[in-house]
Amino acid sequence: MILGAAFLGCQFESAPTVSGGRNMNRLHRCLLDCNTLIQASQMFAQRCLCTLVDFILNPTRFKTNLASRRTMEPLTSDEVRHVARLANLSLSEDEIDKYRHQLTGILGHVQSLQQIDTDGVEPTGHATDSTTVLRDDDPSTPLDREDVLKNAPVTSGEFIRVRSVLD
Amino acid sequence: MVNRASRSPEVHYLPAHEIRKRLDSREISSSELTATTLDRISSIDGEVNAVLRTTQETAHESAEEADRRLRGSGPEAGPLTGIPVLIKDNMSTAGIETTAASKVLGGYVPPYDAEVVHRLKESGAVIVGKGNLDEFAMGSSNEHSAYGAVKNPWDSSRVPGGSSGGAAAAVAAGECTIALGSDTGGSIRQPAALCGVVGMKPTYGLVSRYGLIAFASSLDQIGPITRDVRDCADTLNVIASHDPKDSTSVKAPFDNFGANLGKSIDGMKLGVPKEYLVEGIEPGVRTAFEEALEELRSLGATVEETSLPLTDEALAVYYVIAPSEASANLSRYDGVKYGQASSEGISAAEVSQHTRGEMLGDEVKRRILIGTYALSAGYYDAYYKKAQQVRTLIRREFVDAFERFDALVTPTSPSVAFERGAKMSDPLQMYLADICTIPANIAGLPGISVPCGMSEGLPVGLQFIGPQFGDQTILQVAHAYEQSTDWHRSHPPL
Repeated sequence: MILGAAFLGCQFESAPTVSGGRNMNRLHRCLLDCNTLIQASQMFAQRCLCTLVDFILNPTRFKTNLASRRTMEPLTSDEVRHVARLANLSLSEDEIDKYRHQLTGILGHVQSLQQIDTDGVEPTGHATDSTTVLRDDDPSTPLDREDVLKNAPVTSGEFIRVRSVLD
Repeated sequence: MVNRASRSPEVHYLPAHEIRKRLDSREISSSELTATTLDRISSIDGEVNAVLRTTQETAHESAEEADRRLRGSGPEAGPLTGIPVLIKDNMSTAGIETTAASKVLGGYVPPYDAEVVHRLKESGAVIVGKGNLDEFAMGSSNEHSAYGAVKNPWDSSRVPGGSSGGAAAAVAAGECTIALGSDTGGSIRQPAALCGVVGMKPTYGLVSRYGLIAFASSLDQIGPITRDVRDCADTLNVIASHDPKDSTSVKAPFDNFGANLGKSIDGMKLGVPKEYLVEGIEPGVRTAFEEALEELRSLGATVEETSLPLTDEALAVYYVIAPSEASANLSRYDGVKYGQASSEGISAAEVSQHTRGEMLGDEVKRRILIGTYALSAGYYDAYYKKAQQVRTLIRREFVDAFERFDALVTPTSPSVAFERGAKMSDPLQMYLADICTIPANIAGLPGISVPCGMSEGLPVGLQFIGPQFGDQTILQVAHAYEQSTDWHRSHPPL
């Protein structure tokens, strides 16, 4: 069943941190130098994915929004399952039930934000008001491929191996 | 007060600047100090569980190198040369396993150093190990570590605070002289307070996050946990830098964090935001806090009550923004590139779901779910964008306050260290206890906690919050307070 052998070698992010930069692969070097950009793109990608999956799974949901549920109704098990699916998390039935109650409590607490008048207020992304920073496209030595590959659970030669991506 | 009895000047309870005098006078070498430190970790850490792993071999090599520098060969020795330092295990250390206290990163060996680790090594500091934490730095009690809870060195039935609980407990217990922590909503300052040591989160951007395993990128900031304020300033001078590898990194508008240490605070204007003295504040904490205010007045500062009405909302903003950013940042733990993968599942997607379901802890999953919900279609504007807008209002409220005050002074935590297990079943109660520390992260401001007393035999922390880049000012006032009291000299009976 193993169809995919993703070519991830020394590519993409060098380690599980938000900061890329020192050792980027040639394709992404000019793009990935900037944390804000990475984070924004992660967030954007997640939103796009959420939106897409949301639409496929539950098109009627688009008609509801928080304004119509200002007093927090308890989340349903299906809603927790839906969010878990978006988050790529497998949960047991016990966990679903536990998180249903806990998430309702936490989300209920943050409803207070709805009472605050924010008309015309600019959102704050970073407290330092930093803007996108670019650097010169100077080649540098990438991380050692072996050092990177030895962290992957399954490898094959110069590649990271993954299970079938498409049915 | 029985716990204040032990005040022996053993080297493991000395601050770095005093150890440096002994290193300089050759009374002790860094190699001896390192061996003593590693011995101490192996003899007492079974009880505390602050240290996830030691770095025996590299530590001895670094110590020998430091001794050469201290004897005048190689680069000039600095304040941290030869000093044993512990690194919270969410900062990458080349060649040394780094797990963020999560099962999903078990066995992960970073191929590079975090910028702060690189800078510590350059300074000649001796890295002795990696500190325990709440998994991915999510928690206020250090009970959410996949590798066991950390115990408070003052009372092993109590939590050390979190998420840098290992770092704070290790400094308090004399298992290292200095530790690096990270602070997203109080994760340096709160455990420092609960363990009776000094902890500081500098202005957002002054310390590079390159190599810090990301939790909530717009809030995360690395900072020191130390025995006293001078060590804190000295450590910041080493780790702070403008780093092109972190695009949110900013250059400090000053050279020396410690430039104002020792200067009088006569005439300094301090504000006490009444919203921080919450209803549930423990009487012993309130008493210690009020005595600290008297001490500050006696040093010539004016202390005046003020109001920051949006304080409660800072908590709501945090519990939208931090999980949202975390849900994006943690999507990378899919069992493909690093760490562990589940053996369950046929397709790549199933393996990923099982990996995350099996190997992420309860608190991490909870926050991923909250964040994913808040970012999902139909809810984004009402939660994430709304929180970011209120964040702007909170920042403005602080800017206004700092037109009237040089710094704000508050308790660091409304309670002393609580019993282990006491808040585990009610995550919301655990979150609400972070009320005093979270606002500084929301606004990107510097905050420092210093010991200011004991209640029920446990340490109480005093927090100073400064304006953006007011790091020197809060270090100055924290130092003045510290030097007029002797709480920082207390240590647990270990």
